[in-house]
Amino acid sequence: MIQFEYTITDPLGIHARPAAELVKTATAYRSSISIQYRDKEISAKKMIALMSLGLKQSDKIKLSIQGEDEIEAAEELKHFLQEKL
Amino acid sequence: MFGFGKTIEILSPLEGKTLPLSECGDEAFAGEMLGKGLAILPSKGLVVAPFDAKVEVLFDTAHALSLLSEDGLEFLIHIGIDTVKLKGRHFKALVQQGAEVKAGDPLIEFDPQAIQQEGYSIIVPMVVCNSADYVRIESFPGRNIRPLDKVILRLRKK
Repeated sequence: MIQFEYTITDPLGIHARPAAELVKTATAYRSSISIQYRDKEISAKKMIALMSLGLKQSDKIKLSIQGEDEIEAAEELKHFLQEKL
Repeated sequence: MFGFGKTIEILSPLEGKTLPLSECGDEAFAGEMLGKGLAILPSKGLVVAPFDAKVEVLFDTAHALSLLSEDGLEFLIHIGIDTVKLKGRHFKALVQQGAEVKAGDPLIEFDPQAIQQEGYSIIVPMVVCNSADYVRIESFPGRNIRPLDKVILRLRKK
């Protein structure tokens, strides 16, 4: 399992379009990918669950990635977050 | 026709005219990246619940919300294009995230004129976020609609 933290820098936070893009990135991998924020943990492959976190700028999330392609998935997700969020 | 799941019909949550999703003016929605659905060009600034549901997501900015029906249907209603940038101006949530609502309950009020004056489209894309759970999603563009008066989407469950 690979875990890492990320702090949202986008001033608009995770609204509908970035949520869809993040889900699209996550669903391309077979690994299970979860996002933890405060006391909630959701699947990064579920758009509604992701949007329900209401993530905003400066919020810190923790990603946990587990599965056969976890290394590639973690790299791609880190890249996506840094570029887009 | 046996072997198919249940058919679900979604009624209109707004007054206006239905359009194909491809004409909503937003690439992500038009490309069905968020799911299949359709758009409404609203003639009044009120969104009501199209079916009994739980309000699963309601952004602080009140520009979009997502409903979960008892059947597990995940329905996103997004008021305007790029309106997240208005940071809540001209939108008013009438319910809270997590609320249980009945068909016809008012959910969000918005000011179409003020939104347009700030340079944003007021088209309302609506999508089934869990489109993969349905074998068929039929939409009905080109209809003049009022809240709950006509079917805008017909879905068949897997």
